[in-house]
Amino acid sequence: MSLSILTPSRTILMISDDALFVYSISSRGVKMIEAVPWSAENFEENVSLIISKECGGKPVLIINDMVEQHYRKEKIPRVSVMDKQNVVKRKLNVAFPNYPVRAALPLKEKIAKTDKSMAGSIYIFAAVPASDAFKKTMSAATRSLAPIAGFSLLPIEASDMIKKLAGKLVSKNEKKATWTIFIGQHQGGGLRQIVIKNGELALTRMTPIIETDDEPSIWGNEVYQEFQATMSYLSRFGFDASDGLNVILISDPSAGDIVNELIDIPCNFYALSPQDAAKLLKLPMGIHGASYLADSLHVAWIGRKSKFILPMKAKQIDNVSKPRQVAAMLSVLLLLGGSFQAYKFLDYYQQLEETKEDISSVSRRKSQLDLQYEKEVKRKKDLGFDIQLIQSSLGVYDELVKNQINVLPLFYKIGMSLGKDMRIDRIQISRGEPSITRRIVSAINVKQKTPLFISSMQMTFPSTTDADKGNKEVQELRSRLQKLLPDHVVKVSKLLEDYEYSEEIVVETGDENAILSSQDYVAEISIEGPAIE
Amino acid sequence: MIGIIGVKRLLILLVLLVINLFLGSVIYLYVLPEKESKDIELRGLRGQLSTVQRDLDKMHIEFEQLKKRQDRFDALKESGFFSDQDRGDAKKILSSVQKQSKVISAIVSVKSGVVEDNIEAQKSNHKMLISPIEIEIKAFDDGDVYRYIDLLQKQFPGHLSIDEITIKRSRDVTSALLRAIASGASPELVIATIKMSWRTMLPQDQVIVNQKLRR
Repeated sequence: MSLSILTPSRTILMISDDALFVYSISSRGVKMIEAVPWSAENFEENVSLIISKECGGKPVLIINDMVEQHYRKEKIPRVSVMDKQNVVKRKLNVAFPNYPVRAALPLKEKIAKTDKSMAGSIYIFAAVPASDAFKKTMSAATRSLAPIAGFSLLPIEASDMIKKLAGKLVSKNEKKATWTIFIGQHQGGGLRQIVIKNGELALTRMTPIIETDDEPSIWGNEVYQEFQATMSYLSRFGFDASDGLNVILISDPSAGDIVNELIDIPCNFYALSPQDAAKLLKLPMGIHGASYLADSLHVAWIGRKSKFILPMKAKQIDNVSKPRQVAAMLSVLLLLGGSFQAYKFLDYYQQLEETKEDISSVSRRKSQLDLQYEKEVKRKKDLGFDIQLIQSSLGVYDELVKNQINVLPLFYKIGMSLGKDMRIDRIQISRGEPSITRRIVSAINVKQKTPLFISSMQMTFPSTTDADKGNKEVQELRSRLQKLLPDHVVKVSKLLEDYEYSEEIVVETGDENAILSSQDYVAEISIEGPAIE
Repeated sequence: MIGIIGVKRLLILLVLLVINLFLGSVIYLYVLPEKESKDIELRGLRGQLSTVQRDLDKMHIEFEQLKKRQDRFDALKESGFFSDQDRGDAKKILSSVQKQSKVISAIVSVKSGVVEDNIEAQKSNHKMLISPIEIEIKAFDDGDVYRYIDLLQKQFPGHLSIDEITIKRSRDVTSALLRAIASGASPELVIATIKMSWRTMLPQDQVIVNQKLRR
């Protein structure tokens, strides 16, 4: 598909037998620009000027409406999808070896497999000779430098219009006719009859008749005669009156009535002006006065197509259209690329500017913070703070406090536990040292806890003391101590039962008669703790 | 080909191509590298800004903490924690403590100081000066010993820690002793032996000067 056909604005070159008709089509409608006879002097130059100047160099669509265009129905046997194109191409080549412009159109009709024949598809092969008119038209189009949108055949491309028009004209209650004959006179004077069967082209005829402006009755008679001739052809194409027939005539109303009266076979007859037909088809036609010619209707329909039913292929067309299409595509791509790059450039540039603004803003903020920081540093210096000394000295002191043995609170608690009746003779407190096991474990960098201090206190009980009672008192003292020193280990390391001589013998003067030697009980309690790392 | 495409269209194509090339080169050779460089600069600046802001916040927090710690530090300084353990001063304090505590006698021996390293003290270029102290106290009552210890810890410069203490009853209370007490005498009933460590912090340079002076 050509990119140029995306736009409905085109120059249409309609090749007829007498002249080349140049139309300009736009959203406003169809405008006939010029009819240039083939015999005109400087034909190519003039036409190219019309295309480039008067039509504004719009993409050119060439429509062939000449008498000499050939159609042939061909059967293509069922082959694989890969081979189908080659088979069709070869068959087309064989069918029209001397026609450079040709194409094939598959029809809906299929051939079922029988004993005698293979299954296959039916194609319409179409071809146009490399006539003088074709060559001149191509030359003019080439000269104009306008893009070529395509080359197509009027009857083929009009078939879908006729189908649609018939659909609009026939009321919903009526039976749909299989056949439709579309009759219309063209500017060259010829009467174009297009017959479609089930929406596909079945037959087309182009015959010269008198102008529509002449006597309507004569015109009507001539049209009727041509219609009769067409009907005689149709019988060969398998026409049966029961299939239903629509006849659409583009003419003025009086001539249409005459033709309607003349037609004696059963059919649905409709006579329309081109404007009415365009209205039904919702085609903008523009102002065309009281013209009852069908060309402009065809041009309006075909000229707006984005996809043709049968785009004709020829080297002459490709040689011109392909490079122009490539150039047009390249132009569009470059334009899009340029637009995209321009957009990206602006986007990146804006981002760059924003980044620069951010840098500037952050720099300003940093300068302010730097200033504030310097002020704070100065303030700190002015205050005479030696932060490191403060932190380390307090750290050292706290560590010393943590590891110091607070003997006074300990003595107080021991005093509380002893009560009024008990007393201790000796108390020793020393710094706790890690055991051998702990030393070994700590040597392998595993932190072990050691008691902060180890204390032992000795109590002496008189020899007259009941040992059991004394032991009980010692145990009770241990319990009281443990209660007051919960994070310590309080043990009775020696009970009263273990005899031990006291260190001295007390002799009191004045008691010479009773020299007493006392063998006192000694009990011992040990306190360990609290555990530190 | 020019005949088919046309000079005008060819020129348009060339112009479009040149515009594309120009825009492409401007974008990829100037704008993008410049943008990347500026982005890096911005990231760097933001990092610096964040660091300064963090330092500033840290400083503010330190200020708050320092005000509280400064008072403790001042008290520590006041208590002689940074003194060089002047023996003369120590002697005066020990005499005063002995009188106040009402112990019968206190024989104090302050040994030579030893300079030791301490990880925490090293952070502020200080060392620890440790002097062992041995005290033998004779007292009528163990309460006098406790008072002695308490006063010593409060009045002695620096930090004093008890490493070992032994308190024992030196005599049994006999009738004769009770009579002596009743007559107003304060006989010695308790003996306490205390081993202490006297610790102060000294600046490293002062330690070196002291060592040189000793030589």
